[in-house]
Amino acid sequence: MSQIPGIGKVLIANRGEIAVRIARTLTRLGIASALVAHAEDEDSPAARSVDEVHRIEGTTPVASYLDGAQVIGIAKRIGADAIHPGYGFLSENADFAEAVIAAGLRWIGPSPKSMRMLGDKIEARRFVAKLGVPLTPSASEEDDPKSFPARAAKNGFPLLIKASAGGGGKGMQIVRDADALPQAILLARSAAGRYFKDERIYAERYVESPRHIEVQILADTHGQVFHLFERDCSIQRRFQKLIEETPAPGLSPALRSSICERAVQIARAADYHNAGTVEFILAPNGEYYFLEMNTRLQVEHPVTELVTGIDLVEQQLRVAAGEKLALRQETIRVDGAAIECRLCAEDADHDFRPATGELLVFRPAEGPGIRFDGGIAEGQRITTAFDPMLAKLIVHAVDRKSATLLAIRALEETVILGCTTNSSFLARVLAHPEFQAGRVETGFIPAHADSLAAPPLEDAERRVLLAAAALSNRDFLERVHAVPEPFGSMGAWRN
Amino acid sequence: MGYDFSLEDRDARVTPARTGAALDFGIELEIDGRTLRAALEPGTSDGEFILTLDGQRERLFVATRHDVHFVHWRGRSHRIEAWNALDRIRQAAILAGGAEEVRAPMPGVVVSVAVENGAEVARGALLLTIESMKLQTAITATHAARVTEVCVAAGDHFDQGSPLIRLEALAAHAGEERKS
Repeated sequence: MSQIPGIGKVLIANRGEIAVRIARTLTRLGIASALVAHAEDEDSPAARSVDEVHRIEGTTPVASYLDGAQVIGIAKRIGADAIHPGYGFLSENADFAEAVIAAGLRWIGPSPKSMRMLGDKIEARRFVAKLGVPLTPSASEEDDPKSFPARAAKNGFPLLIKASAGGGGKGMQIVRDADALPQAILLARSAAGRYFKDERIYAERYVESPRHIEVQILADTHGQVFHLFERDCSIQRRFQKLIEETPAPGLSPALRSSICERAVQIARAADYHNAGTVEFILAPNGEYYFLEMNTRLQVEHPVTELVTGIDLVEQQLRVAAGEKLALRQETIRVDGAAIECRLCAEDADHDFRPATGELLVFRPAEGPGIRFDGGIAEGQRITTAFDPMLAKLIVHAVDRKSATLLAIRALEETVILGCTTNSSFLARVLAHPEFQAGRVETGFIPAHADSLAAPPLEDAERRVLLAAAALSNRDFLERVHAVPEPFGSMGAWRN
Repeated sequence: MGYDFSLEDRDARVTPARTGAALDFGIELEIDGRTLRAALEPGTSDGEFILTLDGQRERLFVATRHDVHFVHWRGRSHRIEAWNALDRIRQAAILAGGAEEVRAPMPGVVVSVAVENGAEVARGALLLTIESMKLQTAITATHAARVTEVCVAAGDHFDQGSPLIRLEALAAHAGEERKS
């Protein structure tokens, strides 16, 4: 029997680890779980974790998961009460959310109106600026070309000069002092004209060595808005998060509550409901700026769940069912520290290029304080068809130091054979003295590239590995057997 | 006779040095000029093994796919490629005959194929475009050649090292730019 009146069956419009994770909460709450799956995923752990699997088709596997009409059609046909979009795919598609609601289903997420307003970055910036939320200070040439250099300089150096119509870093320039500004403006203007046929430029303060701090929001349709504290997601490669943790190390209680209250203020003003995340850039001097708001469940939500003890998917379901959340801000507390590591099929020693293969052996670490959110199984092919993230290892301990050590041990104990992963790279980041000192920033990985590189194996270590390989190699063993003298005690050879 | 393996981009030769029923430890191996007594026994779980090397026991996980051995030991995973000697000979024969195989530098998907079987291409000509990590890369001919086989079609996914296209150097140029 469902513990949430009004929601008896939920269709999960996603795949992989997040589908498994959502199904776990549905099962615990007595709610029937259904999943859409492309043929490639029909035997996946996600498919095995739900009550019903329904095939979706598409020109590519990704296209099938993006086909909103097909998903809604299945939901109606199977009698689902609600759709959970997970993250990625359709989760931030306001048109899809609207269509779900129009089809008489519950949408497990915010209103399409908030999704539209907060999903558009420029509109979101305008909206939060009106609330007095700090944004990186900026000046636009268009407003008054004559005073532009002076207005730009007023924002403080270094400045980032950008084309208004720009993108992809083209024509962008970092200006470190006032003397270099006039020349940079000329260059930026001509670059903007050349690349975008639009010479309009603007300048914003360039935040160096920033940290990425985000706040988990939970809001219901009865006007209650809660924050579940912050996460630090500064360890990134290629602008994608790799390690996330809570609490953010070294944040003063005053700064923490200031950031968290800002996030609540934004969500309240936007009439937001369900789970969401407000992202900020934190400068080394303690100033912080609004970056964007994500109107969905985040990949890194488990660290918040571990320290608060609150199941975010359950709360999402309760909000979608129209319940008034049985929470109080003062009773939401952080217990210890949690760290998440994203295990990806990629070669960290070669510029993080994606790796492919087949999972031959998969043994996730186990034990107190270790949570493994994965959607992978032995025998599974790892292709480039989907995101390279294989699984998330999340640990929870009494403090950051213990959590870091536990995460390193759990990474070392996790055995994934058959596909190159970033597992030992993640362990080296966690073991890095600067990480352990809490000195993290979004440029951490490039800044410490040399000390994060894999140490070369010593000769004695090479011999162990080569002996293991040789004694597992069929051709090698056949050659050994071809030697006239028979072996008496080689044991059982297995390949 | 030795057997070659590659670990961390370094080659190593492993040779069975002494074998026999009288040796109760398994086998004697010669690795990079050092002789070691080695035995590998299954451990308690799937994929787990106990390697005894000169009396020292090491718990590790081993899995093999084709000619690649994956070994997890002391918290790190390693990839050891076995060089199948026959493959090497075949490869050498292909190269001597002026043929070559363009292999995928990294896993990805084929965006478009610019040539057909039998086409003659000049040095620098576009052969195909691939996409990996959202970056498109043009694969061009390093010398004048005839296309003997296009191994992929637009939309195909491929692994690192998969053959994409096979070429045969045109006589006038064969040998000349082989170094590239």
